[in-house]
Amino acid sequence: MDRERESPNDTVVAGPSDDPIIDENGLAFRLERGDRVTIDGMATSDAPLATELVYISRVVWARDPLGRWWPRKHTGQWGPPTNDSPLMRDKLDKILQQLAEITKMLAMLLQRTQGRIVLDLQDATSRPQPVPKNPGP
Amino acid sequence: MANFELPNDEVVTIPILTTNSAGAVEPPPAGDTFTVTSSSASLGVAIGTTAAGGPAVVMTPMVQLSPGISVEVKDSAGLTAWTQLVDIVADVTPTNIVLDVADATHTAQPVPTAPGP
Repeated sequence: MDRERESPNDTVVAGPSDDPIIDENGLAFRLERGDRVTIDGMATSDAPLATELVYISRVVWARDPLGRWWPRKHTGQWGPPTNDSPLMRDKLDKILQQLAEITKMLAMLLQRTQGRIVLDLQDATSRPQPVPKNPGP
Repeated sequence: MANFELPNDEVVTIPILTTNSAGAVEPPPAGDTFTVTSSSASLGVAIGTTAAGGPAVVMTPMVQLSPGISVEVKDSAGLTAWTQLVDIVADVTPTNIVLDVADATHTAQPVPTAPGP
């Protein structure tokens, strides 16, 4: 497990990345939600699905449907999952939650900066009033 | 955009909409409140509601004629404001028949022989 690499300065990204991830061995790979976290020696049918992904620097953590996080080692292998490490699991859950909140805030900010107010003149309604006595400027 | 012509004998209620960056109408952000200002005291403006309960601008002409009044609608969420130019105009749409008795003209004729009913 790469706990020593999870310093506050590490880059944290959630979800599939647009660019392939390059691990420290120079091996490029891409992982999407729904991909199987395949571990050597584990039959494919038994491999857990990745429901969420968090990248901490170049280490990928994939969450399976049971809520366990699987780290991708530098060798390309997966595991072990965090079911034996509740602290690590809670930390990753919290990161994912924070990233979701940031995404929501960014969406709101985008709405604020690019949304507009419009007067719907087509649907205007009117009611009569007496003509003002003031003729105007 | 052409100026909005407001007849001086009407109070108009105009719905306020909010759109996203693509121009599609979206509900305003939660808790959003609107404010409206007029560049001239000749046009009274206030935030009201439509019959359906949505936010609206209510414009009330205070004078008979006044062109080029600027009305600006802002909100608390910081969406891009809307500026509308309004002309207060005379209402030239006929709706009633009236006899202009004051401007009547007379021509002479013989007195009728029938004394009347």
